[in-house]
Amino acid sequence: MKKITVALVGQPNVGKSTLFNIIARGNAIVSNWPGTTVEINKSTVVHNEYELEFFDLPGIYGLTGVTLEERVARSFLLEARPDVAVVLVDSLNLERTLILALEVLEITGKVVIAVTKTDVAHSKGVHINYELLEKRLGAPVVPVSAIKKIGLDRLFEAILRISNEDRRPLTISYGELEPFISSVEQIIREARNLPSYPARWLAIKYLEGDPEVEEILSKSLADRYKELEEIRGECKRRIGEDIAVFVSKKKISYIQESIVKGAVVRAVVEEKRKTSSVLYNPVAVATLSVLFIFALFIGVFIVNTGYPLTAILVRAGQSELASKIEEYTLSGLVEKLFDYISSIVYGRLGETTLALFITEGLLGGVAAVLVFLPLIVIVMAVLGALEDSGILPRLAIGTHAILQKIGLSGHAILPVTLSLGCNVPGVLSTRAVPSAGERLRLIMLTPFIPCQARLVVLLALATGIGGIAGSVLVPFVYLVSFAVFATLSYASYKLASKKRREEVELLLEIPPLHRPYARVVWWFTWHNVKHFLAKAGTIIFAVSIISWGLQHVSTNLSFTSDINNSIIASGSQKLSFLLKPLGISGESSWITAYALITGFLAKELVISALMTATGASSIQEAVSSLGLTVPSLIALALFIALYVPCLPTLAAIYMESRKARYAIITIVLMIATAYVLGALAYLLANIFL
Amino acid sequence: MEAVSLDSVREGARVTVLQINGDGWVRRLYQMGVLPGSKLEVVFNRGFGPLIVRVGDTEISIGRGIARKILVRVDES
Ligand SMILES: Nc1nc2c(ncn2[C@@H]2O[C@H](COP(=O)(O)OP(=O)(O)O)[C@@H](O)[C@H]2O)c(=O)[nH]1
Repeated sequence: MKKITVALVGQPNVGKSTLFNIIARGNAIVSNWPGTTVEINKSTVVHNEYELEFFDLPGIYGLTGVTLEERVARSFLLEARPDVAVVLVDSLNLERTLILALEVLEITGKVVIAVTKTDVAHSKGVHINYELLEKRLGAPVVPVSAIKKIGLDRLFEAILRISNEDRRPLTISYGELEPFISSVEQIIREARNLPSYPARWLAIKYLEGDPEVEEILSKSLADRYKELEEIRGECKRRIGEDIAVFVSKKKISYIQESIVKGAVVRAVVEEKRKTSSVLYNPVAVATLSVLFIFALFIGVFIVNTGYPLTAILVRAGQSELASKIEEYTLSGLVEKLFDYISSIVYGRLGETTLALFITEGLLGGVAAVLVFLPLIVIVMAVLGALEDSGILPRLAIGTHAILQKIGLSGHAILPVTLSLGCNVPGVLSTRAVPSAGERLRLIMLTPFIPCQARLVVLLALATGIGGIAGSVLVPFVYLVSFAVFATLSYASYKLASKKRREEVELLLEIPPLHRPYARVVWWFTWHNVKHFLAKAGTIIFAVSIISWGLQHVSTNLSFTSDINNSIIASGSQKLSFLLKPLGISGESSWITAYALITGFLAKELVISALMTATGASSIQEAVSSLGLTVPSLIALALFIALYVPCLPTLAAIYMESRKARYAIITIVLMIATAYVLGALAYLLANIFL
Repeated sequence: MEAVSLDSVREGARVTVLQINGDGWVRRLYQMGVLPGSKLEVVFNRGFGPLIVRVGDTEISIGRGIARKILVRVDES
C-alpha cells in the first residue's frame, strides 16, 4: 500500500483538534518533536488503497519562528517534508486564518486548504465561493465540518490528488521589496551546503530578520554574509519601516485584494451579539473566575478523597457518615478493589515471597498509578469542557488583574490551575504563555503549587495528627504554599524586570462561547489520560516495583522480609541526620528519610513508604511508632509540600526550559524554602501548641 | 488626523491602527490581524484591566500595557 504523509496545520481555534479526532477516530499516537516536549499527534488512516499518515502539528498563528511551536511546525514542513500539507482556515474568520495558509504555500505548493466550521457559516451570514478561492490560491479548497462530519471524503480525495502532483510554492509579489529579495535569493542559490529549503522563502525570511534563518545563512555563507547584511541595510532604508511589518501588511492586503474580494460575501447579521456585559466586567469576571476555579477543585477533591467534606462532617460529630463517604470516594473504591484482589492472591498462594511480590510489588505499583487515574480523568474532562466552550480564555482575562499583582499575567491561570491537579501538565501548559521571561519563571515556580499527590499525603498526615491541628493542617499548608509561590513569583518578576524590561501582559484570542461538545471533551480527556498512563504511569509503576525490591534486598544482596535490613534502610540511616531541624531524630528517623527519598520519585509514595517500613496498618499507627510529635508532623507536612519537585516534574522542567540549570535552581530553591519554613514551623509549633 | 493610544479610546469606538511601537508583542499582534491599517472596534474598555477589541470576526483581549503602544485614529466614536 502506498503511504502518504499529511501534515495538519492551522491557527489556534480553527477546529484542528476536532477535525483530527474525527479523522483519527480516537486512534492517535503522541510523539515528541526531537529534542522538545512539543507534541505531534499521529494517526494512520486507510483510504482507497492508500495509507494516509496524519500529523497534527501544534496550533500556531504563523511560521515566523518566534515561538517553539512555530519553529517545530516550520521544521516539520521543511525537513520532514510531508507529501501534503492540509491548512485549516476558519470560515468565520477567513481573512486572518488565511495568513497561515499563505505562509505554508510559500514553503510548499503541495497544499490542500480545508475551510472549517462550514455548518455554521450560513447562519452567520458567511457565503464563500470555493471554486473562485481555489483558482486564486492555486490549491484545492474543501469545505468541511468536523462536528457534522461533512466534507471528509472530498478532503481525502484532494489529498490523494495533490500527493501525486508536482506543485510549486506560491509567489506573492512584495512590491518594493522584490529587487532585494532577488539579490538575496541569488546569493543563496549560488551557495553550497545550504539545507534545501526554498531559496525565495529563505530570502524573505532573512530580510524579515528571522533569527533561525539568520543563523543558517551566517553559518553556511560565512564569506558572503556581509554582503547579505548590506543588502538588508539598504532594504531597510528604502522601505522605511520594519521589514517584517511590511511583509505582514503585504500579505494581508494580498488576502484582501487578490483572494477574498468577491469570493466571500458577509451578509450583515450583526448587532445581535450584545454580549452581556457581566462577562466583560473585570471585577465581576475576576471574582466569578476565582470562585469558579475554587468550587471546581473543591468538587474534584471531594470526589477523589472526600476532603474537605469529610473533615467538616467529622467536626460536626458525623464521623460515621464521613468514613462512609470516604469509603465511596474514588480513592476509597480503588483501595477496596486492591484489598479484595490481595486477599484472593494470598488465599491462592499463601504467605509466600511470590504472593508478597504480587500484592505489594506488582499490585502496589498498579494501585499507585490507578489512584491517580480517576483524578486525572476528572481534571482533564473539566479542563476539556472549559477549553472547548471558550471559558478558559475568559478566566485568563478575569484573573489577569489579580495575577499582575504577583508579577504574572492572565496567561498563567492555566499552568497554575493545572498544577493543583498535577505539576507536570502545569509545566507543559506554560507553552501557551507568550512572554518567554514569564514562561521561564512559571516553569520554575509552578512546582511550589501543591498537587493532588501532595494532597493525599497531607490528608494522611492530618489523620495522623488528629484534633484541631489535624483539621487545619491541609488549608494551612495550601495557604503557605500559595504565599510562597506568590512571593517568589513577585520577587523573580522584580528581579527580571531590573535586568531586562520584563512585562506581564495579556494578549489572547477570545473564541465564541458555546456549550461544550461531549465528543470533543471526551477526546481531549482520553488523549490526555492515555498520555498520562503512558508516561507518568510507566514511571510510577516501575519505581514502585524497584522500591519494593530495594526494601526486600538486604545489604548482603539476599532476600529479606524485614525492611530494617534492606539496602534502602542503611542508605536512609546515613541521611537521617538532615531531618534534625524538623525535630525528627533518633532510632526510627531513617524511616522518614527513606519515605522522603521515595517521595522524590512520586510524592504520594511517602505514605505507603511510611506504612510499609513501619509495618503499620494505619497512618496513626505508623506515626505513633515513629514517635513523631505534633510539631514535627506539622513541620514534616510543610516540608513534604515544598521540598523538591517530583521526578516527572523535574523531567518536564528540564525538557521545557532546555537547560539543566533551571531544573537545578528549582530544586535548590525548593529545598531551601522547605528547610527554612519547616524548621520555622517546628519552632513556632513548639512554642504555641 | 489625531493619533491616540488604544487604551485611551472609549468603548464602542471604531478605530484604525496607525502604528505599533515596541518589539516583543508586535509580531504576535500582526499574526492576530492587528497591524497598521487594521480596523478595530473597541468592545470593552473600563479604564483598567485588559481591553477587548474586535478585529474582523474575532475578539481579542489586549493587556493595557500593550494597548498603550498601539497608536490609532478614531474613525467613529
Ligand atoms: N460549528 C462548528 N464548530 C466547530 C467545528 N470544529 C470545531 N469547532 C469549535 O471550534 C472551537 C475550536 O475547536 P478546536 O478543535 O479546539 O480548535 P483548535 O484550536 O484548532 O484545535 C471549539 O469550540 C470547537 O467546538 C465544526 O466543524 N463546526
